[in-house]
Amino acid sequence: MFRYRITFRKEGPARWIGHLDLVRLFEQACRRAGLPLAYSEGFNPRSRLVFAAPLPVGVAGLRELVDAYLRVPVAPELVQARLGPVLPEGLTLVRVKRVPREEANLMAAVRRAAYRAEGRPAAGLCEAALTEAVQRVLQAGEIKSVRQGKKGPKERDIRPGIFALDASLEEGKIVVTMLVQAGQEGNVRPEEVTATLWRLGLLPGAPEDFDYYRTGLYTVAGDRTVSLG
Amino acid sequence: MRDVERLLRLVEKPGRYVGGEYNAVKKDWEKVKVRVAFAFPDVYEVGMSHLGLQILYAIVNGRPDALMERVFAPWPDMEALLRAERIPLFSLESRRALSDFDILAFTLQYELTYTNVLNMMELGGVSPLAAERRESEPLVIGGGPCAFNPEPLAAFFDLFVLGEGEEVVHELLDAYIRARQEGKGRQEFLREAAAIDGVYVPSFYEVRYQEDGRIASVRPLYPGIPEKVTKRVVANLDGAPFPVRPVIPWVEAVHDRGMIEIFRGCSRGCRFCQAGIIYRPVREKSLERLLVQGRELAKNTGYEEISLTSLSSVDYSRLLPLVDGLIETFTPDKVSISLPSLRADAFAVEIARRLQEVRKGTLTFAPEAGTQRLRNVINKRVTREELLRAVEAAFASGWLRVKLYFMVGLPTETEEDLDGIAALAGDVLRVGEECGVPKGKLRVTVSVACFVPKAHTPFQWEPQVPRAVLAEKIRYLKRRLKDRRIDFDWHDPEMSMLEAVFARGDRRLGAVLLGAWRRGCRFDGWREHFSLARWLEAFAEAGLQPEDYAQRRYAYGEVLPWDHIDVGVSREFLIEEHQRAYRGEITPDCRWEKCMACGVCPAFGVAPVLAEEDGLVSLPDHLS
Ligand code: SF4
Repeated sequence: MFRYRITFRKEGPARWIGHLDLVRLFEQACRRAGLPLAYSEGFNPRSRLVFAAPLPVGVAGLRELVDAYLRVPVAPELVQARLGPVLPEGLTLVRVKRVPREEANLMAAVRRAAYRAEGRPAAGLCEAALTEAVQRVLQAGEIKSVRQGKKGPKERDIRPGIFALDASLEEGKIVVTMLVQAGQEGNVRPEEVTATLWRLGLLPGAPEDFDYYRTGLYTVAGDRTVSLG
Repeated sequence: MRDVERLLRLVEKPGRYVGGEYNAVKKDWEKVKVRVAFAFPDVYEVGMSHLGLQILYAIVNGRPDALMERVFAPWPDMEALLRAERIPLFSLESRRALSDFDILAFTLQYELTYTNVLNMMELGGVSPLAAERRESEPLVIGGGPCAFNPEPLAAFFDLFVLGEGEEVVHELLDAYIRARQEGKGRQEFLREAAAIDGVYVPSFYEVRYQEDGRIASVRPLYPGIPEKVTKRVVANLDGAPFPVRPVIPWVEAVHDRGMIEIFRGCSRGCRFCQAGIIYRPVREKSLERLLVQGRELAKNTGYEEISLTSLSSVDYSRLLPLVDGLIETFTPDKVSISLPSLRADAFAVEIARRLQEVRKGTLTFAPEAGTQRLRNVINKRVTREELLRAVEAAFASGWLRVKLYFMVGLPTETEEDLDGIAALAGDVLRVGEECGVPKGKLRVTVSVACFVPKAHTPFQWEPQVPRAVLAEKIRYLKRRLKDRRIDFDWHDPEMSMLEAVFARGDRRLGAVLLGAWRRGCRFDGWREHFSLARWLEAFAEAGLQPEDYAQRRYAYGEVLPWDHIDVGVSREFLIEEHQRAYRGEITPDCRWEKCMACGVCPAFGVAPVLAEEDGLVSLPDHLS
């Protein structure tokens, strides 16, 4: 098997698609592209596509990642040339590269995600107030966040999962950027962080006035944060 | 519409409303002469599984002078937001309000979507009552199987298209464009449209009733309007356009697969079945064409499953070469082939085995009735022995679960027939044991629908059993199906009653529909939304009894609400079939045995078409 890392954007209409639908649509696109996907053995063969981390519905992804395993080697440029034109609206390829087969599984490697949230500011809001809001979040010892789980609401502390947070005014918009825990454990969602800013009365407007973007996915090597794309 | 983006965050499955799917077509509004919204009155995942939508979408968008966009019934969460924010229901492609279109075309697949039809019109800014619609509002048209008795919807539609749409849609659009260019208004256009074969303009007919509510007469109001409107049939189905680039849904559809229609029509002649009558005669497509279409479809969609659709796919004359030919190209990509319905015989099981359907675990058969006597009444030609042999073959090939479809409340049914259902289920379990299906794995599902008499069928005169009795029959079966290896599910008798009312209803029901919709009825085909109480209030308000429609035996001599809709099958044939049913007589299948003179072929100058080894042949040649 030959392994390819595909970096893609998920935006426009495609950002409203849930993860399972995305997997299905990607598989279909690979078949349309005539890529020789590898399949698992057994009664119900599944294609070998490994996505880095599900993107919450409504969040646009600017550097999303998926590893595709092919049965025969294909030049990465050819993968890109074939797959690019057959993706549905809002999914676009950024790049395709070969990765060694033995490298860690993509899903397991993901540890951090960067997000950006953009929204319209209320009149009178200044940089200083935003900076102060961010400081209060970062200085909090604990931030409780409630998530709907299968067995009802569950409360947990998201503060340890926030590694960087910044907010500023850009061209009249509030822009919040953050680096948070991602992957299979302790995953923090961007709206959980912005919701904290609202809860503390630090942001005007409503959550649905904000557009969210995932801008990067990272792993951790020692004490370094390394991009996976 | 920035506003729509806001709402998307707040609804379940926002992908239902965003458009831009692969193979979707977005055209420039300024460059076309006519804009059509295709409205499917159910949720996205149901509508996107519908082949008719894909066929018409491809045909209309294939014209340089026309465009077609899609709209589905918004789920109640979205409806509430649209109303609260005063955003009109919009099309997926260009997010325009339905009122912006020239034509709003509904497909009518199921009676219990009718309240959604009214709701979508209102949400889209279109007046539901045709008589109140202004010139600037879209022309509202309907088609699909329920258009064969469109009377309950007569007040809401400008016109209905009866039968297969591939050809008539062009005639209708041409006429529309011409009328527009000549500056004609809606009434004038409708007068011209009524001259097109297959187009029915309900407002051009006057219905008179007798004192007891039965129909006295249905007459055209103007000279030149036909007494009877005949359905459309595509004689050359093989050459008809077929969508090999269907729109691929964002949200997984109910049937998420590519579809190749292998033939249209069905000659098996089940006496309760409306599709078997209205799509006559059988027309198979050629093997060569299907192989090409199947491969193109797989290539253009990337679907992992391609379904060979029809009313009874195992009947296709060249099924083996078709399946083998497709499998050959599909295998490396793990694309599988499926058949939507199976005959209960060993050949069908062998085909399913070849198609690797085993991996799905369940094989489905539809014996429909529990005893041979009742199966003869409905002309379902399968015997207990054949069924058990098929089941045996299935278990021997590795299937673990078998699903059996039955109907309760069929004409002449007795307790013995219900016992027969339980007995058959028991027999299937026994065969499973004998075939050595591992103990904990063996399962039989018994799925029961309630008989609904449908217009244009031999059972169109039959009453439906009262809903309380249907419920009692279901309870009885439940008691008889106690074995833990049997799963039992059934259709709601209350919903089936409503289906029967509208299937055989007349124009007076328009008031009921309006009343029910105003009381909040939506998605009546969904158990969680269905409310009989609201419907009964609407009936009471309109001064009508649902039982008068559902439970009344219509007389041979009376004028039926749909008598002016001509499907080509003669009334004499339907009466004969009805009587043969009571005599328990079987009717041969005109595909293989002999023509039973149902009337369709001479009426339309067509003949059944079969795919034989040396190409397509039509029935007269084929039988001689
Ligand atoms: S007219 Fe004869 S051949 Fe044609 S559909 Fe009817 S029974 Fe079949």
